[in-house]
Amino acid sequence: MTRRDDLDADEQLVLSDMLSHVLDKGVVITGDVVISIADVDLVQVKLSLLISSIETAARHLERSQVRSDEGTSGDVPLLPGSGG
Amino acid sequence: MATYLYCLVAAAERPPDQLCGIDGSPVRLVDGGTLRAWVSTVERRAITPSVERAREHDDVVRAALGRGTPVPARFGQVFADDEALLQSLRERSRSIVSMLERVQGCVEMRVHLRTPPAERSEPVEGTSASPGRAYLEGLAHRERVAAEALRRAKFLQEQIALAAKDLIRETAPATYSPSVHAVSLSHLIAREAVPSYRHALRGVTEESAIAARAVVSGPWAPYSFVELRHD
Repeated sequence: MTRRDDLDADEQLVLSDMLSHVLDKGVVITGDVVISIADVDLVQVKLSLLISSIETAARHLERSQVRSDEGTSGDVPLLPGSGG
Repeated sequence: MATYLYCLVAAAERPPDQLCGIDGSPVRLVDGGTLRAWVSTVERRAITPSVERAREHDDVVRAALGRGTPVPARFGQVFADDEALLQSLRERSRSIVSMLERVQGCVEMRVHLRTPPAERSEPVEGTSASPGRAYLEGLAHRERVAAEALRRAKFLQEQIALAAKDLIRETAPATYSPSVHAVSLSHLIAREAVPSYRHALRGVTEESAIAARAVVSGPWAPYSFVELRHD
């Protein structure tokens, strides 16, 4: 790989890392994490990264739905993909 | 209209003037006493993820990092209004206050270890391999690459732990990202320890062929160290 290739690879790596942390880490205060996959505008990031992040969000939604059913949450979360 | 959450902050620090977040929405402080957050008013409850919006979210968190140590929120959390957000925060106040105290004065540093290109390529299959077998062998190859990457990362983690043991407060589990063929290690360190941490890592990368492929990034807000526990 050339030096330029190394720099491009580093930039891709840091971008991917930023995306994975913003989409998949950080504190979750509520199960109401509503993410739609319509009009996705991703550049140089494989869809698997987005899908795994949405799966994480969906797991939170499921847990929130359980809490809602048990009467412990006042807000009913929307289903993924229902918004724009 | 709804309230979009970027991060929780310990002090009543207002965002910089003109700071904008998701879709150019102005960022403001919601102050609930001991519970405070940087937020924006957005038009809808569903936020479509994109590289641009992820950057906008992280840019706000970075601005907060310039004024203290925020607890970054995961992308996409939207509340009916400011009061709904504050109510959710109050329900978890003990955990949130504890988390803010734990990360105060700290930042996250990351080390990324790339798999060499020659190791990523899948072996060339002979023409006799069936599509099903080729698929399974491809999966097996990718799993071997990931396992080897994690093994090297474990070695690197041990070297870093030795070199920077007095600097690292917490370590997050290593994560493998197949899209960029890299393992990432995350460390929580005191903000003022960043130069010493980088110096320690230079020593590690100079002494090890494995570590020589490492890339250090940061400081970041502590995304990897802010899991909420139940009150």
